[in-house]
Amino acid sequence: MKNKVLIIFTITSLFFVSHIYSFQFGVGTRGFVKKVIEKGQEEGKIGKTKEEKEKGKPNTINYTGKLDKLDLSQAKYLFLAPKSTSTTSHSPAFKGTIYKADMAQTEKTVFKMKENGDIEEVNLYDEQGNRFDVNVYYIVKLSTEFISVALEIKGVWIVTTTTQVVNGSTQVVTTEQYFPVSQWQTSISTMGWGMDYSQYQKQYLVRLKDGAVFEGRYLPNDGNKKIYQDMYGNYYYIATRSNSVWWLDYNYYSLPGSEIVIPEGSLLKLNTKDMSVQVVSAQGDIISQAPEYTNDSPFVVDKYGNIAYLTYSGVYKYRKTTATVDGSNIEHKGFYTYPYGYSYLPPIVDINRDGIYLIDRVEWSDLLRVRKVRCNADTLYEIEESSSTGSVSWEVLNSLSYSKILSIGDKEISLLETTSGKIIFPTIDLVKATTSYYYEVNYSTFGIDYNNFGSGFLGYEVVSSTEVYVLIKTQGQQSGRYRYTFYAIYPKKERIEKVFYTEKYEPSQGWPLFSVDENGNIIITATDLDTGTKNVLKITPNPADPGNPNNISILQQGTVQIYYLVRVY
Amino acid sequence: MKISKYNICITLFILLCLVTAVKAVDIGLGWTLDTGIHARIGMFELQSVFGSDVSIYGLRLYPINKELSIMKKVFNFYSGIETDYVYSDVLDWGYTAGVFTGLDKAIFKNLHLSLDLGVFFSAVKGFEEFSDWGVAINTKLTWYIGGKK
Repeated sequence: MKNKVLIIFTITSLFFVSHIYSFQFGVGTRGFVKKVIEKGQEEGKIGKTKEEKEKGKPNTINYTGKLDKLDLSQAKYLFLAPKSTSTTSHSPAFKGTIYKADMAQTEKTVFKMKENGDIEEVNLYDEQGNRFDVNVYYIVKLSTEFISVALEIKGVWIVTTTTQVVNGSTQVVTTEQYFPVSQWQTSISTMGWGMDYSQYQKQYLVRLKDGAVFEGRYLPNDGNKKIYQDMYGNYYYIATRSNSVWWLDYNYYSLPGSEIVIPEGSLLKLNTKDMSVQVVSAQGDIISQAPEYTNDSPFVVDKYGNIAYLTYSGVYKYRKTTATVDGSNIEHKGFYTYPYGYSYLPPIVDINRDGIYLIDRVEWSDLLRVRKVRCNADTLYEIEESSSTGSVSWEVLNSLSYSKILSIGDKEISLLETTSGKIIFPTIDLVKATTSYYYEVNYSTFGIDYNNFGSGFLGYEVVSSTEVYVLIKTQGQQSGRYRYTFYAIYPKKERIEKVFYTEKYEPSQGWPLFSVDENGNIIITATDLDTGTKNVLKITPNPADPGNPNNISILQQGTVQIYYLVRVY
Repeated sequence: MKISKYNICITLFILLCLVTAVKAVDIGLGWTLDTGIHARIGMFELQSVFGSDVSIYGLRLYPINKELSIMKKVFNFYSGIETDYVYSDVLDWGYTAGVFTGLDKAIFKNLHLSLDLGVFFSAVKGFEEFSDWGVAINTKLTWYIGGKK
């Protein structure tokens, strides 16, 4: 009797011990195996039904948590990559070049990057444990500071967008209603005629590096124009149509049942307190895009929320702000216009974002004009304007409109300008409106022979405010081939270095011409002239031995696959 | 199932082996708790434990068999190893293996009841591979039709 009690006690205790210590307890070997399978199913590694197994694990993003704000705090770093690609070969180093993937490559998976560097897939379920069908879209970006990504979640929330006119400005107000998955009756593929597609989707946008939060709102910014934030938490950006994310256009610009359409090129303010969007540029103003090769923003916003932008009509437009009665936010007030001359820079905000500078050439003179406009509580929300003019060389003035801003300080800005015969690096004193520093490099320095067709200066890329790479094409040693040479220019040190050259590869002369990663390596798409293969090359600058083929490593042959490292807030 | 000459030959061969071995080794057929059947031949045991969700097909080896007297009653103490193939609709493949030890007692003539405790490891492949370990208790009823028992 005592033995039987002992056996029953032992068996019973195994049930409890297995819960305390992580092992499976089964009555019979089959019972044990069933427990193992059930645990695998809980972890999402095994399908729950035969159909699920046959369908295979979907390439959708998943996330465990509530969906009301897509709180991805557990997954701050999301890594999007083609499903078939090893997740260990990613590189967030494509600072300058993010390619637009074609639609066939939009199947992406979202991963969480853990603190130890491991990457795991993120799962998304609702509170009832239903898994969401989520597609990942992204708005492709070119150049510098951030990458925007749009995630589409089908059928989680109904998003109702209405447009109204408030204080003379068009406002888009969005309300949302939770729509449980259990009530889903329609998938996108079975949408009937006349059904409102927009009610079955919701977009999220996230940004890299600078902390902007755009969840649950549409933020088309396909042109990669800069987004500013004011001290009240409002964001400013240009409404841009998206070629890659067509549904952003659908929802944002062509509101069903509304005749009011926000034109592309309008400047928008996103109020993150109530997630409302307001058009803050003047009605009818289309903000001119800065030339692609300078990539400077055509508008600026200071920290008080005053805005200035370039218009096609030959004026800078400035809109001042006034604090709200409770002081917690701002209201945008009247517009002020400032004509610009025959060459000009886009509006510039100083490094402290205290005031906005308008810099242009006075008519056909050799005078540079610098106007500074301020408006904040210190000025009692009245415009405070100061202006100075100074004599500057005609070369600097002539190329002003095609300048690349290398750095902005509180008293000066450094520029890069390309002329027909040289690259010049002027620094403008913002107080005196004169040139405080000047350095120039003639193209002949690089061995360019303008009598030789095809020889020339192909372009540049800014590495930092003190370093610029240029790409030069000259006649090669081998008949019928050209030599492509990268030089590094250090304008403040007045120094030039040949960092790499090749006759084996021919760069694809698209835009951007090439990119520079975070370690100063050159990333370029080029064709191997010996084999005819198109490659993505990483070139390590090597002034000591610029012709060494070992300076090249091939990142990708054939189709370009690009990886994104995205921070989600 | 289609009966072929091949199947008939295999079946006859097995029967021949059984007949020749019946007087030399223990032969038994039985029921494994948890909806299964097994066949014991000497120190080998073939088992199939099936269900609508998961089935296992495997082999047990009993290298250690000793008589043991507990409270004046005679038991057969045994230890061995087991390995099984796991079949399930939700899996691509799976297997389990482990060691076990237990006691066996004749409860009526040649009908034996055995109870053993084993430590097992199982690896399965669904969307991805998954493995875990654990403890299993196995109970079997075996009717010995020949041999020493």
